[in-house]
Amino acid sequence: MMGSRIVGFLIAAGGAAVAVYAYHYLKLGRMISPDAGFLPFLLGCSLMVMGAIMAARPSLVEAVATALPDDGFKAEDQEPHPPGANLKMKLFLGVIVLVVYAWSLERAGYFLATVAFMGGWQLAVEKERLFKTALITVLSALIMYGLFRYLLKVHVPAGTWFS
Amino acid sequence: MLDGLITGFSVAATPINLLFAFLGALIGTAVGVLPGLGPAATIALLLPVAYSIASPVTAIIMMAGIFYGSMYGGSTTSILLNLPGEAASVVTCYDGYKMARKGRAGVALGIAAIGSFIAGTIGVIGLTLFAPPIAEFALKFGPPERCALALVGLLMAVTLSGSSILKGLIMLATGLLLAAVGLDPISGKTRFSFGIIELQSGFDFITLAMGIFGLGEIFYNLETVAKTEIVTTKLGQIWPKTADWLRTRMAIARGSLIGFFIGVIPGGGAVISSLVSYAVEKKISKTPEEFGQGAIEGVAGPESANNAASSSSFIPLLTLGIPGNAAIAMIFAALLIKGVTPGPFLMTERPDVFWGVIASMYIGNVMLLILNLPLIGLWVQLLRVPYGILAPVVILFTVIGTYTISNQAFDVYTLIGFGLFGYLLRKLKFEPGPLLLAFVLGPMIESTMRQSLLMSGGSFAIFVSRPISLTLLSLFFILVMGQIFFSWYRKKNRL
Repeated sequence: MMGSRIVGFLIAAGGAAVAVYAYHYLKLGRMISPDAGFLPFLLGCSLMVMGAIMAARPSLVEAVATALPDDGFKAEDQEPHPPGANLKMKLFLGVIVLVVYAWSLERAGYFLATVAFMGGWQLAVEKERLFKTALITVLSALIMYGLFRYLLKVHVPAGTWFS
Repeated sequence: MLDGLITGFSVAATPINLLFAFLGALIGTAVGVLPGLGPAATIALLLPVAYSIASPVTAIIMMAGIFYGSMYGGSTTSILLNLPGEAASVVTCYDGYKMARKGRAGVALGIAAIGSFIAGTIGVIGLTLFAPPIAEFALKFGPPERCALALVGLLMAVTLSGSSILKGLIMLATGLLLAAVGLDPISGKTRFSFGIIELQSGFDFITLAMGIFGLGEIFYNLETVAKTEIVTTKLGQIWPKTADWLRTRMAIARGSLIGFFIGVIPGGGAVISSLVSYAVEKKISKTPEEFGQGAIEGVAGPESANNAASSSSFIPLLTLGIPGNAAIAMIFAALLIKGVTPGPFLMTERPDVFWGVIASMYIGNVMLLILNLPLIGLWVQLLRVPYGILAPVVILFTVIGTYTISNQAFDVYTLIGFGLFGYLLRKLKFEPGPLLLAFVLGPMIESTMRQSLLMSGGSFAIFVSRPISLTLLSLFFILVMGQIFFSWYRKKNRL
């Protein structure tokens, strides 16, 4: 329930920020000719209201849930088996490897960046042995490079470090 | 109509279109088999490929093949491994797996494939019959009707999706806001770009779809996917016996009709239709106690329903330009990428696309029937591919697919951002489908709303003063009230 409250509060705050931005910077215009901020303002206000409902006290939430079928504020909405620290670390490492891949893509070029990504993923995320990692990395990088570069004829970055 | 269908077959039966229909059906079946990669995610991953295919008909034929192919494939793992490949096949596990444990896996797979073929074909016949008059009627729609229709479609997708209404509405508003990022087409002002040049043209659909559906799913699975043990089940006889036919013929017929009508409604789709079909079969069965213990009707009905629904969900897309679910929204986007606007004018302006897609579905259904049964062994082997290899390979596809849109790393960072957003949505039990539908329909909703207000002199009453938009809004109101009433009635009776 606490998670729902926090999320609801964040949604309401986000909605308020959108509404203020739309009102001050984009302008609402007149009803006959709405300006660029009209729809974002309406949406911001709606998010504010919906976020507030979500963040409301349990009694109010239960009342809404009774009126609206399957409202989603149910016990099963809470994480039944929270993932362990290892799995959370897996996700964290996966995102880091991916960000590094995005950063190196234009610098090191597609092939080298892909080799680094696959190697990094297998070692850091999947905790594979070195030989298996090397095999998967080289094979997948070669296959993907051939597929994109020659079969699909997609432009892949050549790398600024080597140009 | 017959002329149109002949045109369609002449388009769909060209070697290149047959090849792509086959590829679509093959990829779709593989996707249906693999848990953790749904049809929407796969179509999103293949959207960049749609760029490189010259003909829009060919691109759409492949994507339609992936969509209905995944419905076929989902049953295989449900029956053999008690592991639904995608959401619409969850109910097939109840009786399909029990049949497999009793040594009747082959019959279960056979009836699922044949039922799917019959229902898919009935769905396409319905599409052929109903789509032209609906498209003709939709030509009468002005901006208020189009705006009301899109809003009603979105709201129905939220209310019927089976998840939280409030969370669905939040997703809907978020999708509309994301669609508003970039240049306002009427005033020329830039919205929510905060000085970032790359954001001035708004978010790209492919980046958003691949991030939320493709990458988001992979991030989520990193935390949740456990190693699955492949259980080898003896298939036995595949072709059903006469007694099986007699037991299932009406279940297939009912499933086809249920699926067809639920599939037409935005938000209805394959998942709901399979659940409704299962409930109906159990309710009217003379032996309801057999359900959950290996009743063949429990496999035939839902599998027929989800395939009929996948065919009929093309009706609102092709005739009204309203995608009813996330996978259809991807196809909608692919059409836009190829310069084709789905909607009432599609049948007259691009009959090759309209009828070509319909005709390809007849051919695709036959292909799937031929494909599915002999390749069951191969599909089961596909499950042996470790997720540790599959996940990074899919990531490579998403990254390069996004990068090639405008050859800039910024899009890849945006993709990662949307991936994390998609992961959070799944963690917090927000259904991302309505967000995607709202993102796709956002520009149309905003422009038609502003046109309507201009027409009415600034009064929202225009939406209830015109008969068609009033009817649409009334239908929606009745549907929501009906749902609330039935929910209240159920709760009261339980008490």
